[in-house]
Amino acid sequence: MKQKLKKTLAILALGALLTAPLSKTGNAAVEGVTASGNTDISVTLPPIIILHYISEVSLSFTDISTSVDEGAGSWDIAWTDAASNVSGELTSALLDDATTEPDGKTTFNITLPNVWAVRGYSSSGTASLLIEEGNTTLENGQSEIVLSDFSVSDDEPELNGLAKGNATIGSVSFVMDIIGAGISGTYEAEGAEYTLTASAI
Amino acid sequence: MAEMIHVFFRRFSKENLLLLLGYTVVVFIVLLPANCIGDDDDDDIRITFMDEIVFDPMRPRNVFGNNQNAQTADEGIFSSDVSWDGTVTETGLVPGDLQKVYEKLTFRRWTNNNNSDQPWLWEVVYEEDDDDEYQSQPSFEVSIVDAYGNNGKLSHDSDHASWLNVSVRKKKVEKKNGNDKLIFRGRVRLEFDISNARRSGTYRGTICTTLTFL
Repeated sequence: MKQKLKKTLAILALGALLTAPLSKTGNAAVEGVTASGNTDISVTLPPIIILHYISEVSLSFTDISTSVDEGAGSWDIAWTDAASNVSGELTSALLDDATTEPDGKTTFNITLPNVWAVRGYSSSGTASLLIEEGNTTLENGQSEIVLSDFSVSDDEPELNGLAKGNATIGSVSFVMDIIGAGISGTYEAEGAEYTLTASAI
Repeated sequence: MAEMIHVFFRRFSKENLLLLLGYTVVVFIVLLPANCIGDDDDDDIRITFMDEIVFDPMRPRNVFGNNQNAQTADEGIFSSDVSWDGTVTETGLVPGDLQKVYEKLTFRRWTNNNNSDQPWLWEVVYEEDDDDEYQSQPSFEVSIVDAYGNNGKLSHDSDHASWLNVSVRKKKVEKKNGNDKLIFRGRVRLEFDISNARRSGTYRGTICTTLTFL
């Protein structure tokens, strides 16, 4: 009986000793203990569009004034002031073509390269770009030049963020008709000839 | 185990074993409160990390001089000669010449929960009748990671190629007494760099917070 009691005490003491170090670990936890946790975070960016545009376009047709050597002409002149045996006299049918002349062309397909740029953010990463015609008749006195068929090179350009180095740059095209242009000089219109509108999509 | 018990049985008298048992019980009682961080039944200390923080959205005024979502830049006059076949000889805009428009590409937010008005990232609450020895103000470090494991970034919900760089600008710990409690609360001020963002919408990530009790 005595031996059994002693054995029981030994088991209890040894068990207590073996578990005592666990509470020392807890004590160490006070000094230098760490606790970690995670927090999910989120932030929202709104759609943003930056449109760069050219507010004034000035086009000058190249000067094609030139001289054309139509060769030699000869006339026999009588003593009565009458000319005879004429050769080399100019007629419209006989005129040589100038190397730079438009040969009767009156409409031109014009493209203005790199006259708009867009950048920014949208949910799709692209924008919608519309071009609307304004006052398309350019006047110079009674003479006029008519513009039509405006379009942009890309009507859904990539936005690529806010950095200007990544902006999408494009052109505007239209048709110019000069058949009503009878005099030289500057042809202008009141107000804008075209308007660009960019929207986030 | 049986061998160890046998050694105890032979080496220690009954009195010594009782003494050893008593000593061990005392050691347990003295050290017990120190083992309670985070999960004891007495709630001597409670540590809470915010589950989710939804930051106030970026506003246009954070990066522009106004609060308009649409900005325009007048790049002036384009002049060119046109040949009689319709060819425009000059080129207009090049990227390097574009106006910058924005004032900066960063914005900052504290870790205030936009939904709950709780201005903290983590909270440590001590019962006021605790031993002061254990009521130290914790220091803390944070790191940010996106859903793809990239450090210091938040990624767009639908386009991993569109991201925000995030850096910690300030850390703050506030101490508050009241209602028989001692409370420490921590928060951070983050700076979001939008240079690499390509899309509007929600950007997500995780703040990993480590508290250290000195």
